[in-house]
Amino acid sequence: MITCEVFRRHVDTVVDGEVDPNTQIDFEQHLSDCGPCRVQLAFARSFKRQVRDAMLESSPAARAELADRIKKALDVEEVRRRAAAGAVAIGATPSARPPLGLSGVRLVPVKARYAVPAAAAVVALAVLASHEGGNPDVELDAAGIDATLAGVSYLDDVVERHAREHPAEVSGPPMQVASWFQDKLEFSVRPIEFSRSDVRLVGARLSSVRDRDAAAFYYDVHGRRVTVVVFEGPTTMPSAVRPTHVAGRALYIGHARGRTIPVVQHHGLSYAIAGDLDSRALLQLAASAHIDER
Amino acid sequence: MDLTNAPSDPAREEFEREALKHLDALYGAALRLTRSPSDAEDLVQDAFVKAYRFYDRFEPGTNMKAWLFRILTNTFINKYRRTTRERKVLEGREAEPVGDGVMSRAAMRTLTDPISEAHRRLITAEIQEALDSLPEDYRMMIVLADVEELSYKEIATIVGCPIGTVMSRLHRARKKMQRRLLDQAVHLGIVQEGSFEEPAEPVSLEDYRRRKEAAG
Repeated sequence: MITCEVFRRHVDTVVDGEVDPNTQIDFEQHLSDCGPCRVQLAFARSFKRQVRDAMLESSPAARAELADRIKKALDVEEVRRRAAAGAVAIGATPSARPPLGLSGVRLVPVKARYAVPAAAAVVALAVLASHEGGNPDVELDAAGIDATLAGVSYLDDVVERHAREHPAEVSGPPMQVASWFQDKLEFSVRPIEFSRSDVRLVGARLSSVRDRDAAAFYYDVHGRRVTVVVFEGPTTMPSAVRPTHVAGRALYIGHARGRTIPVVQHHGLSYAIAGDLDSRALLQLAASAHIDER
Repeated sequence: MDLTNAPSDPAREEFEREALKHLDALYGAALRLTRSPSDAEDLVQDAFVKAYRFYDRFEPGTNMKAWLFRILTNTFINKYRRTTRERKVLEGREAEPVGDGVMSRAAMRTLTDPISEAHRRLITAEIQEALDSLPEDYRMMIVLADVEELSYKEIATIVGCPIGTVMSRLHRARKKMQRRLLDQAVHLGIVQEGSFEEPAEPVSLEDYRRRKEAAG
């Protein structure tokens, strides 16, 4: 049976239309018998409406100049993009990696939509393909294309969590950080530790990967950012995420958005590592990872 | 648009046509987030450029406005990330307990249906101030949930946190605003003093006895 306490705790979800149909029926039953909770609900609904009205009333329209400013900024962006696409074609040698966002993976839609000369894209892709098995960085990019096409989308989320740099919600020694997560996640999580003195845990926050809750840990390695996203599963890795050994350590290598993502699995959790380091340094870092069992 | 510099492109035209429809709504949200007209304009411009840059990732047929808000909010978060001081303040505030029974039923009734236009205006002004006084993370919840009416799931994706965190932040944000609104309503004489009320029914007999003794 629904008590007033339960109803009031969830009154926001009722107002926001986020209650599942079964609970909704229970709530309605309770409301039909409970005057005080009806008052509470009416107030909560009205408050939401008043907030909205107040905001809309106070919200002036954008100045006409803003639309012009934006159009000019889009012109600049378009020029920048064309120039960048051109640079990829000219600089498409094994050692020249295209900038993020214009890697091999993204070139195809860019080409189709913005009429970058078809040859430019072909050259870039051909270079990636012809060096498979040669330069490891290039090889990783080629595999990255496979991974993206195969829809290994959860690694995209990991890259995004790293790129977006959401603020840390907790910082301090690893033990303290671990205990902050205790009542927030359904699984027990500990920050990964690295057997290297140059890696510093700077903070952590709640995060998500696809629909799963996750923990994101932020590290500093000589002024470069590394993000480790920890989540449950997957029980079997997609084939595009390959098992490997680095310095005797078993781990997986995945790719997303032109980045290499080493994944360490431990007790049913995945620790996916994204960072502003080159692939080799990132793999070495992953190989030095350990998870404190205390 | 200067056609000599930027040749007409169907995708660009489509983007402008579809995205600029939401300019006022985005500017309004940006203004609420930044509290400064010039910062709001910068933020909206950055968001549009970013949206255009990643337009190939937008799935046609999905909610363009929600997608743009997501980019706007993320742009805001990333800029704001550079200053961590306010974040610490929020952590302190987030730790504060928020009571369930803040307002008396009489006060709620009064504030549910403002009787006069004058009251309505006072309440509206107070709500605006209450929103501006919230820490940024809370303000963002109110903007996304109450003004833009996005779902918890959409907000969670935008802000990059679990749905449970959205719920608790939103709850706390609303409670804070309501508390402030009530204080102001008492101050203005719209609501009688002593409107803070204990929960209608005691949680346990022991609580009830303790309360009765205290009331003496």
